[in-house]
Amino acid sequence: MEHDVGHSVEMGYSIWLVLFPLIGLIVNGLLARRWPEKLVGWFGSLMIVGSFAIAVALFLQLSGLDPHDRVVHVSFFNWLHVGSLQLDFAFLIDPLSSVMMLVVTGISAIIHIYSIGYMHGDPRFRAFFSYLNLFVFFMLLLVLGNNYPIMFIGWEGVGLASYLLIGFWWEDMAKATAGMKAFIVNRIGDFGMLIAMFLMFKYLGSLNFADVFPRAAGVWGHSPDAGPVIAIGLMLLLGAVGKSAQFPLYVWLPDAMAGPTPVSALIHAATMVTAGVYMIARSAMFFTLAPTAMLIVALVGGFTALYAATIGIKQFDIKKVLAYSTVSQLGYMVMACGVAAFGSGIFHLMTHAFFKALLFLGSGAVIHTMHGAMHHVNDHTTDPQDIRNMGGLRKYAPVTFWTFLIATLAISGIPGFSGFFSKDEILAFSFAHGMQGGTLIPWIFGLVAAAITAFYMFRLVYLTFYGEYKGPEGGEPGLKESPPVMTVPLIVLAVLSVVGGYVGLPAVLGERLNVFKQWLDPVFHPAYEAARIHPAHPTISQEWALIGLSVIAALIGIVIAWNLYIRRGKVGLPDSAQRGFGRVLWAKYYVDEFYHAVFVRPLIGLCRIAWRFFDEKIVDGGLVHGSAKTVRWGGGVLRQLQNGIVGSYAVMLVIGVILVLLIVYF
Amino acid sequence: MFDSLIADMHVSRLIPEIFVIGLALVAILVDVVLPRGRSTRGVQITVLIGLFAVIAATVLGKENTGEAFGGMVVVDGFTFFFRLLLAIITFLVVLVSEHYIERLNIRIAEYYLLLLFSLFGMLLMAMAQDLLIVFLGIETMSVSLYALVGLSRQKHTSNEGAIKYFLLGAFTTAIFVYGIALMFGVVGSTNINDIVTFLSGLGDSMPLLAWAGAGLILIGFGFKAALVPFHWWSPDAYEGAPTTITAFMSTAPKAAAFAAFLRVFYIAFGEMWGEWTVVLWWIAVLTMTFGNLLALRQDSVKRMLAFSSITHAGYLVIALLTFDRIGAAAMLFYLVVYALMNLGAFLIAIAVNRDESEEKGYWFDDYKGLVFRKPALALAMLVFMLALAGIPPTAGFFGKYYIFASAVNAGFVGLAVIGVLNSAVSVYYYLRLVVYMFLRDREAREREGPLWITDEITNVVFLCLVLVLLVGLFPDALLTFATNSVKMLL
Repeated sequence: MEHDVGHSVEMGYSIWLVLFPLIGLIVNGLLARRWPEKLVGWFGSLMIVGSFAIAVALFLQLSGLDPHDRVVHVSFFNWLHVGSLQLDFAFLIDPLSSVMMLVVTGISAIIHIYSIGYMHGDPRFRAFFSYLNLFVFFMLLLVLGNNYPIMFIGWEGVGLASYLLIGFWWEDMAKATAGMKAFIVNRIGDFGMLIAMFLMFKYLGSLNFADVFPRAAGVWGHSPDAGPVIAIGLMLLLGAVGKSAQFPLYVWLPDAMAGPTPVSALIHAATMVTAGVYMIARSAMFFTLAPTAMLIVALVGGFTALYAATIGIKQFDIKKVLAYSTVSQLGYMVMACGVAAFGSGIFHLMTHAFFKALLFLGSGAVIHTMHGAMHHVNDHTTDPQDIRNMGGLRKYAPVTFWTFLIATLAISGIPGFSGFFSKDEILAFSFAHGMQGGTLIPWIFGLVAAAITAFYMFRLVYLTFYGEYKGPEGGEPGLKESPPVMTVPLIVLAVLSVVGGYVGLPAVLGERLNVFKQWLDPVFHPAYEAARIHPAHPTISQEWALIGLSVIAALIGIVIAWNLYIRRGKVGLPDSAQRGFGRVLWAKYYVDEFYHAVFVRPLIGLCRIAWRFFDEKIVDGGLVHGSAKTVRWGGGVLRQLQNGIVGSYAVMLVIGVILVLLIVYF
Repeated sequence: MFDSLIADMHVSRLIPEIFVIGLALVAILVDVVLPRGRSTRGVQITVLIGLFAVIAATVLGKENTGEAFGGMVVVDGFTFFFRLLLAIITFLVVLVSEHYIERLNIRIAEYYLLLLFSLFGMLLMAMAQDLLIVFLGIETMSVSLYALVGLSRQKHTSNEGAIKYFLLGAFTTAIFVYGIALMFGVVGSTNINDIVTFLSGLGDSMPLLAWAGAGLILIGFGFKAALVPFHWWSPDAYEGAPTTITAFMSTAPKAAAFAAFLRVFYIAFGEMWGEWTVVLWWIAVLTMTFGNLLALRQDSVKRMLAFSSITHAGYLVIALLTFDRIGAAAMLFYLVVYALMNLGAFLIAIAVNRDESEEKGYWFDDYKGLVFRKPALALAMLVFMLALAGIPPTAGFFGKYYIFASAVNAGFVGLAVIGVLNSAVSVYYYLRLVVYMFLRDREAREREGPLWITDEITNVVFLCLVLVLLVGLFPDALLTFATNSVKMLL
C-alpha cells in the first residue's frame, strides 16, 4: 500500500519551487531598497515564473512514470523526530499536487505581471511584491507537504499573507477590520484542522500522509462511520469551511475584497480559498470511510453554491458580485467532494482558477478605466466599483470586454467553454450519486444555482459593458483601455478559460478522452477501495439529458438577464429603494448583522462585565481615583486598605481556596 | 571529619547556586568600591560576567547529578533545564536593564542584587525535593520581587502593585505553610519521596488531612503562577513594576513556580492525581478564559501583555494536568518559547513607550504607523504577536500544538477544544496591535516622537526574534531536550 519510490526518482530539485519565492521575498523585502519599481516588480515576477518552470518540469517527469509509480516522496531533512512523532520536511509529488502546483505557480506568475501595471506608483510597491511572494511560498508548502503539519504551516501562512494583503491599504479602520475579520473567522476553521490532527495522532499515531491513510483504512475499513473517523471528517470539513468560505463561515471573503484587485484574483479567487477543497481531496480516505461526514460535505457545498448565488443577484459592487460568485463556485467544488467525485472537484478548481482570476483582473481593468473617467472630471465621490455608475464600457475597453465576456460564458456553463465541462461533470456525478441511494438534494441545489449564476453574471456584463454610460458627466474622454501589462494577462487567461476544459471531456464523447480524470484517479483509488465504494457514473443517456438540462438552466438565466437589462433597459435601484425579498438579498440575508448580534455583542458584553467588575471597580475605582487624591504614597497605601481593595482581593482569594477544597472533598 | 561531611552533602552539585550567592556578595562590594554614578554600570557588568559563569558552571556540571544535602535538593536533568532557562532569562534582563533604570531614575545597585536573590530562590524551587526547601525558595524569590515591583518609588502604580503583591503574597504564604504543616502531620516528613511512599502505602484510605494539605499547597503554587482565581495581584503588580521587571516576572518566576509545582505534584501527590485533574481542569479553563476576556479590552500594551500572561499560564496548566511525559515535555517547551516571545514583546513595548513618567503609558495609540517609522521593529513585533497567538511558522505555534496534542493524547479532548478556542480569541487582541502598527495614520506622523531604542534592546530583541523563528522552523532539538529533561520524573 505504501509507495516509497523517492530513491529511484530524482526530484530533489523540487525544493526550488519554494526557494524561488523565498528568494524573491528576501531580496524584495530586505535588500532591494533602492531598486526602481520596474526592477522590483519584474524580479518578483521572474521568481514565480521560475517556480512555474520547475512545476512544469516536475509534471513532465511525473507523467513519464508508470501510473502506479506516480507517488514520489522527496525528503529534504529530518524535521521532527521526537518519540512516536516522525516527520520529515518532505514533499509529496503526485498527480494531485502536480495539478495544484501548476495552477498555483501559473496563475501567480500571470497575476504578478499584471500587478506591475496595477500597483504602479504605489508607495509600498516593494512591500506588495514581498507579500505576494510570501503568499506563493506558503501556498506551495500547503500543496506540496507530505504530512499534515507542513500543510498546516502553509495553511496558516497563506492566511497571514492574505491578512497582510487585505489590509494593504490600511488607511482606515474599516479595511483593517476586514483583514482582522478574515483572520479571526479563519481561526475557527483552523481550530477544526488542529483538532482533526490531534485525533489522527491519537488514533493513528502519525501525521504523514503515507501512514495515516493506510492505517485509517486498516482501522476503520471494516466499520465505516465509526465515531472517531466521523469526528476527523467533520473537523477537517470545518477547516475547509473556514478557508474555502463555505456556509456559515463565508462572511470573511466578501469583506476581503477590500484588498487590491490582484490580491482578490490570486488569493481570494484562484488559489488560497481553494485550499480547503484540496485538503478535502487529499484527505479523501477519511471521507469515504465516514459516509455521514461526506453527506454533510455534499449538503454544505450544495447549499453554499445556491445560497451565495442568490446574494450575487442583488449586489452592486462589481467585486462583491464576483466575491459571492466565488463562494458559490467553491460550493460546487466542495459538493463534488461530498459525492465522492474528488477529481471533478479539483477539475472545477482548475477551470475556476482560470476564469475567476480573469473575471477579477477584468474587474480591476474596469475599475482602472472608471478611475480614468473620474480623474478626467476631478470627481472623487463616485464609487468606481458600483455597476450602477458604469454602462457602455464595451466601446472604450474592448479587450477587457471580450475577455470578460469569455470568462462569463465559461462560468455560466456554456458548452465549449471550460466551466461547462467541469460544472457538468460535478452535476452528473451528484445526480448519479443521488440515484445510487444518496440524496438528490445537492444536485437540485447545484442545478438551480447554475441558472442563477448565468443570470447574475450576465446582469453584471450587461450593466457594465452595455447600455449607456452612467458615470460622472463629461467623463467619457477619460475612459481608456488599460495598458498592455494588464491586458496581455487578460488575454492569456481568456485562452485558458476556453481551452482549459478540454482536458476533461465528458464521458459521452468517449471514456478515454477525459485525460484529467485518468491522471487524477489513481490518487483517490485507495480511498475508494478502502471503503469499497465505486463512484457512481451516470449512464450515457442520463448524461446527455443532464447536459441538456444544465445548458437549458444557463440559457434561462441569460434570457432573464437579457430581458431585464437589455430589452427593458433596467438599471439597478439605489440602495434606499430596495424592497421586499430583494432587500433581504441586497442585505445578504442579514447574516453579518446576525453574527454581530449573536456572537460579537455578547462577547463584548462579557468583556465589559469582566472589565467593569475587575478593572474599573477594583483597579480604577480604588487605585486611580483613590491615589489621585493622596499626596504621599504611604497615605495612598492606607487609603487602599481602608477602601478595602486589598481586602476584597483577599476575600476572593479565600473564596478560591474554599472552592478548591470543596472540589477536592466531593 | 568536616571534609567527609562536605562530601556527603555533595556541595559540588550546587556550584551554580553558590556562584549566584557569591556573585551577589561581590556585586555589593563593587557597588561600594566604585564611585557613585559609575557604580551601577560596574555592578551590571559584574553580574553579567558572573551569570555567564553560572551558566558555564551549569553546563560543565551537567554530569554531576544526584541528591545533595541529604535529599533536600536533587540535581537532575529537570534541574539542569531550569537552571539554564532561569539563568539565561536573568542574564538577558540584566543586559537590557542599565539604560532602562537610568531612564526611570532608579539607578541603584540593589536592582541587580534583588534580581540575583530572586534567581537564587527560583533555582532552589527547581531543585527542591523537600517542601520546606520549596517554601524557602518561594520566599527568597518573592521577597526580592516585592521590592523590585515597588522600585519606581515616584509612581503610585508601582507602590500599589508592590503592596498588593506583598500583602496577598504574605497571606498565601500562610496558606502554603499551613498546607506543609498538615502534610507533615499526616506523613511525619516533608520530603516528597517520603510523602509518596507513605501515601501510596495507604491505598484508598487517604486521610482528609492529606487532601487538605495538598490542596493548600496547590493554592500556594497557583498564586505564584498567577492562576485564576489566585491571580488577583498579578495585573497590578505587572503594571506597576518597571517594565524590565514585568518581563522578568512574567517569565522566570512563572517558570520556577511551574517547575516546583510539577515536581511536587507529579512525585509527592501522584497517587491522588485523578482528583487533582478535576481541580486543575477548572483552573485551566478559568485561567485561559479570564485572562483573555480582560486582555480583549485593554488599551495599554503593558496591561494587555500582563493579562495575556495569565492566559498563557492557563495553557501551561493544561500540559501539567496530563500527568505524563508528553505533557510535561510540552510544558517545558512552552516555558522556553513563552519566555522568548514575551521578553521580545515587552522589550519592544519599552522601546515604543513615549513617556516613562506617565503613570500608565504604553498606549496602543503609540503604535500607529510604526511600520512606516521603524519597519524592522514593527516586523519583529509582528512576529512576537503571531507567536503569542500561536500561528506558524513561529515557535508559539509548536508550543501550543504540543500542549493541545498532549491533552488530546491523554484523553482531555474537551479541554483541548476550549484551549484552541481560547487561543483563537486571543488572536483578536494580538492582531489589534498589528493593525495599529500598519495603520497609515497621518495624525500619528505629526506627533511621532523618537523611539527609545538602545543597542542592548536591539540585540536582545534580535536574539529572541531569531530563536522564535528558528524554534518555529526546527522545533526538534528543543523538544528532544525538554523530553530528556523530564525523563527521570515519570
